[in-house]
Formats: sequence, structure tokens, C-alpha cells
Amino acid sequence: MNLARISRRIGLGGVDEFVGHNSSDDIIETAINASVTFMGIPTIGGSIEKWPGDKEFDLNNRIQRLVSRRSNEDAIDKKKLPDNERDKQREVNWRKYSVDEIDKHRFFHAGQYAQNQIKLRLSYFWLNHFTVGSKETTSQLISDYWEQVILKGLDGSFADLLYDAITHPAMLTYLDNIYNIGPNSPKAKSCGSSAGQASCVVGLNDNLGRELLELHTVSPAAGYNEQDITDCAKILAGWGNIFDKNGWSKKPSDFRKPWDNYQSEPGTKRVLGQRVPSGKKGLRVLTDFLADHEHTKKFISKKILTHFCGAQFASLNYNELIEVWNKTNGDLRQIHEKTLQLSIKASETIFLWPTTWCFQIGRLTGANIVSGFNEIGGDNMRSHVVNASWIMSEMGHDFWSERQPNGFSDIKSDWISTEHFDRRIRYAGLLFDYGRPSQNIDSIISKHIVSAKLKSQLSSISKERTRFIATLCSPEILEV
Amino acid sequence: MLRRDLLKAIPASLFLTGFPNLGATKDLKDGRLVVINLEGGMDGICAVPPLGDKSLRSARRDLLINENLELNPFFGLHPSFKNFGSMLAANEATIIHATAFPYTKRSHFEGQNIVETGILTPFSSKTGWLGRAMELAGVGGRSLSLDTPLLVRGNMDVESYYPSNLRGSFLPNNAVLDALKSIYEGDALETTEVLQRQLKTSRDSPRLRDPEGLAAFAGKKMQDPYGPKVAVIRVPEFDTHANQGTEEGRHSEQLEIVDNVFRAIKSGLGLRTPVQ
Repeated sequence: MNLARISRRIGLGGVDEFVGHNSSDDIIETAINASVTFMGIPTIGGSIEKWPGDKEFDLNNRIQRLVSRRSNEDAIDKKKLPDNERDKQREVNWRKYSVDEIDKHRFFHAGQYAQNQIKLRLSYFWLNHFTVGSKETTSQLISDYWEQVILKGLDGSFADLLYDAITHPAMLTYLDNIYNIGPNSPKAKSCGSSAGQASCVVGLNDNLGRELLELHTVSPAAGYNEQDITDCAKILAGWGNIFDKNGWSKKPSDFRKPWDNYQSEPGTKRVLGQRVPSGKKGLRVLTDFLADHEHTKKFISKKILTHFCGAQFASLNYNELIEVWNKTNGDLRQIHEKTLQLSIKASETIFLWPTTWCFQIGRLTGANIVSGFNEIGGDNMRSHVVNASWIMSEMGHDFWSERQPNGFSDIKSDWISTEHFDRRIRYAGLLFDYGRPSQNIDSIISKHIVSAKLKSQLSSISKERTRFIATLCSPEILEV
Repeated sequence: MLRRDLLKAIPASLFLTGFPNLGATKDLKDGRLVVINLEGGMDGICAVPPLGDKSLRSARRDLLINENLELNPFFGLHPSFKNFGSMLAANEATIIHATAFPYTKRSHFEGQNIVETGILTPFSSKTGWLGRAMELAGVGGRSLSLDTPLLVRGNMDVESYYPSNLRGSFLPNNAVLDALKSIYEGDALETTEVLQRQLKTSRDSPRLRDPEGLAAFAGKKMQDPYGPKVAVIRVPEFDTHANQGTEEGRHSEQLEIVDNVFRAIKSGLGLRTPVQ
């Protein structure tokens, strides 16, 4: 396979991380065992540097901001202002404590400038597998979830990643587990006859339990029933209680893996025949059991191979990945290494997700129209300096969007429409018009286009702007 | 006032207004079909509550709406449905309640897939029932979303419409589209051809892309005898779960959007509901 194509297929695309390495196996192994260094540009046209520490936020800081925002909001509401004045103050308050705009730029800059694009590309797959969309407070937590759970999880086992993803406050909020309270929990008992009133809402919410089985692990192929789902919900009750009767008065440090016995459902549960004990430890028993389940291995092996190698290849070769899974006890580094090796071997083309395409053409051309980290949220938005979150949402591929937990599709036909194509053409045009490409389009054609026919078709387009757009929107760049 | 006794038993075939006939008579110009897909699942018991059912209050204590519009002695209508209520009263609409396909599992995604493919084994078809029907009927359609919903897939001649908001960007020009046409084959080639056709008519297109704006646009386009015969409008985020709420709350807001979509399509089509 053509080297440039390999590089785009596994995630590098336009980054010369091949220099100094002997083989693609060597590059994959090095990347998988290295960490990600977050880079960015301070202003449009500026040079690439390390992402600044004052624009990184840990979970405690994020929670503290949510708590402050909430208490300020309560204070604003108490003032009994006219509606428009109250809304204005709320808006200012919201902006003051929100970090998601910065997070989205960090994400977009990482896709264009960070070191170790291979690992980032793997992280997009898992961020989508364990989807958390915007809901209530999650927009302020998604970045922590991505970096601290997904990206870090790439170095561990699937079982660890599963447990950490399910217990992160972003996931517990997104899939309503914060409202999942055991009907026989200490809380339900203390509610007594006032159960059901606003202060004493108790009862199971099986949303996370259901998706844990359907989307995150065994899939419906495992043939579980409603009782299995209910028992999952019972095991999960008690996880995610980030409020207490006074609102947000818990310590931020309680939020990393928020467990509260007070809301948990006592008793032994049973899921797909597995006995699960009561208490906090029950969930780990369940997730370890599910992580090692044959249907999980099959479902996820197929899914990850579909993403990196194509659907047909996946359905024929997923056993190779299950073998690695069994041999290494679900070590994701080994699973990823094998996946990427297979990706190079597979001849089937894969359709790149819109943002993956944006990042790759940004790296290929050296062009960029997204605000630098010192320009975020300021009033310097000239019409052609674009906010990262607009681009992601215009492309229909924003990891911070409100969406369903089955995430973005891996099926090409889900991304083919006149409007999707229109966006690609517009974005490529913007890069040419305002992005100051540093790479000549003819050298991109000669380096990255494999088919001789396409090469000559593209080269024969006389106008440079048209040649630039047609190349970046050509089948070989949209699909690798 | 709303007329009583509006909930009439109308056979499902009439609900799909003459749709299969379009295939037999390709030049038939009168049929139009707008499918509004409430993604995530509307709560039917909340939208059209069986108020006369004694168990309703005890079973749905936290979800009950108090100020329902009155349909008949047994059923009410959610207060967000003001326009739809007038349409019911004017005999322009009907409700087919508590209908379901024989799928009893509770997976959102399997259920939604069946709704769109019309095939009872989830994820077994790459085309939608509407797309296949349109193919048979030889009619083109328009989907008002960024992507092409599964529902209408199977018909090559589907346009999607969801105006871009990328500031400073230009509509793809003819030179670019000609260049892309020269390098594409198959499905993607058709996509570029449709884009080129859209380009010709895009000058008068509104930039609105909320469900209501899109619906008005759909209605306007469908007035044209040579315009699309089928439109799909997707109203997402109906999976409100624990946030459903009552009068105040996400689900009520969603229903209001649907109600506005009804009104907007009608006004786009140049129709008016008589005042009752």
C-alpha cells in the first residue's frame, strides 16, 4: 500500500512521524506506547507550540466551576429581576464559568497539531463507542472524560476502560444514572410515606444499564432479557449521586467515581447468569464479567475493524482480533496494534469521519481557519476566522452535540448527502481562501493520490482554487 | 372550541393517502407526502392521553398534564398541540393511537431502525420503506436534514436540504462541481449532479434551519407541480427520558415544535385551516 495512504488510514496523514522508523509496524508500536502531547497555535497563522496550562482544567476545577455557576444562578434567580435582565445575568454567569469553548478548540487543535495522531484517532473511536453527548452539565465534563478516561484508557485493558467510562460523572449524567435510585435503598426506606414527592424521588432508571448491555458490551446478540437490564440498573443504583439534599454541597473530590450507598439497591443481582454482589464492588464484578463475555469480544472486534478496515473486511476477519483479545486479556495496546496492522493489510476503503477529514486536510495543506487559543471567545471573529465548535457542528460531527448514545455512524451511506458534500466543498474553499495553505496542491496530488487516472484528472484542472477543492473532496481523500 | 368525537377510526391505507398509486400513475401530480419523524420516540400517552382511563392517574402520576385540550370524553390532546387541534377540528387531521409493529423489545435503536426500514429484523436493511416506495413510484424527494435519513434511502434522487452556516463560505460553483463530476462515479456522481441542480435554485432558498423554517420551505417547494412529492422532516431529541417533565419540560417543548411544523408546512403549501 502507498505510504501516504497508510499514513492517512491509521491517522497520521500529513505528519512526518515516519522519519527515523524502519517499518509501519515500528511506527504503530511506537505511537501506541507513547503519550499524546497537546499542541496548538496562539493566533491564526501563529506557530505551533505546546497547549498552555492555563487552558487545561482538571475535574475538580470543572466541578468547582459548576458548583459556583449553580450558586450564582440561584442568587440571580432570588433577585426577582425582569425576565430579560435575569436572562442577561444568567448568560454572563454561564460564560464566566464555562470551559467547553476552550475544550473544543483544544480538541480541534489537537487533531491538527498534537503529537501522536495515531493515538488520537484511536481515541475518537472509543469516545464514540462510549458516547457522551451534551446534557445538563456534561458539556463541561466531556473533555475530562475524553482525556482522563478514553485517552488514558488506551494504555490499559478493555475492562478498565469500560469501568472508568461507566463511572465517570459525564456518563452517569448523560445516561440518567444520577436519577437511578434503588427502590429498596436506604434513601427509599427513609422516605417512607413521602416517597414520590419532590424531595424523595426514588426508583430505577435503566437507561445506563440498558446501553451498558446494548451499546457498550455484549449487544442484543447476547439475547439478554428485560430482567437482565433491570438487574443492571439495580447494580448501577447509587452511582452518580453528585447532588445531596442541599444541592451541590459535596466535595469536588467525590466526583471522580461518585458512589453513594444511600441510594444503592441492596441484595444480590443476576445478569446473564452472573451473580453480582451488593454494594460498590458489584459494578466492577459486572463490568469485568461483561468485558470478558464472548459477545462483547465479537461485537467490539467487529466494530473496531469496521472503523479502521471496512465493514466487509471486519465481518471476515474479526476472529483474528478476538484471538489477540483472548491471548492478552483484552489489552487495548495489543488490540490496537493488531487493528492498525490489519488496516494496512486490508484493501477495502474506509470513509473518514468529517472531523477526521478536516484534521487530515488541515495537516496535508498546512491551512487553518480555526481561532488560535488566544483568540477563543473574543470579539475578534472576523468572518473568516472560525470557531472550532461551529465547524464541528456544521460538519454534523461534533462530539459535544446533543445526540443519541449509539453515537456517530461508521457506515458511509450515513454520511453521503448533498448537504454533507456541500459542507466539504465549502470547508475546502475556506481553507484555500483564508487558511493560507503552506503546501502546494500539486505536491499533495503527487504524494497522496494513488490512482493514475485521478492524478491526471486532478492535475488537468486549470484553476488552482478548483484544483485545491476537487483534490481535497476527491474520493481518495474522503475515503482512504 | 374543539369539536368532540374527532378520533375517528380511519384505516391505515387512507392514512398513507394514495401513496402506492403514484407508482402506477407516474404523472399523477396531486399526491404529496410529508413524513415527520420524531426521533427518539414521542410519548403517545402524553400527546393524546386517555383521560377516561381510571389507571392513568396512578400509573403516570409524575407525567400527568392537567391542562389538556378535550378531544372526546375519553381522550385529551396535549396543550402544545394548538395548531394540530385546529386541524383536527377542521377535519384535516386524524390520530391513529396505540399502533405498533410486532417488536416487543425495548431497544431505542432497534425500534428506530424498524420504524425507518419497515423491516422487522433490526439492522437488516440498508434502505428505508419510504425510499423503496419512492423508487417504485418513480418520485424524487427531499430530506430536511444534514444527512440522508435511512427512511428515504434507496431512492437515488433524494436531495437533502439544511442550509450551511459556515460564515464566509461560498456555494459550490459550477466549475468546482464540473471538476468533481469529472472525478466521481456512481452514487457520489449523482450527489454532485443533484448539488448542481440545487445550485440553480438555491438563490431563493431561506437560510432558516429550525424545524419550522425547514417545514415552511418544504411546503413551498411542494406546491410546485414539478417539485418534490415527498418530504421527510426529522425532529430529533425526543428521547427525553427522565427529563420528560409535564406542562413545563422538554417533552412539551418538543410537541410544540411538532405543532409549529404542522402549521409551517400548511402555510408553505398555501393552505389555511378554517377557524372553528
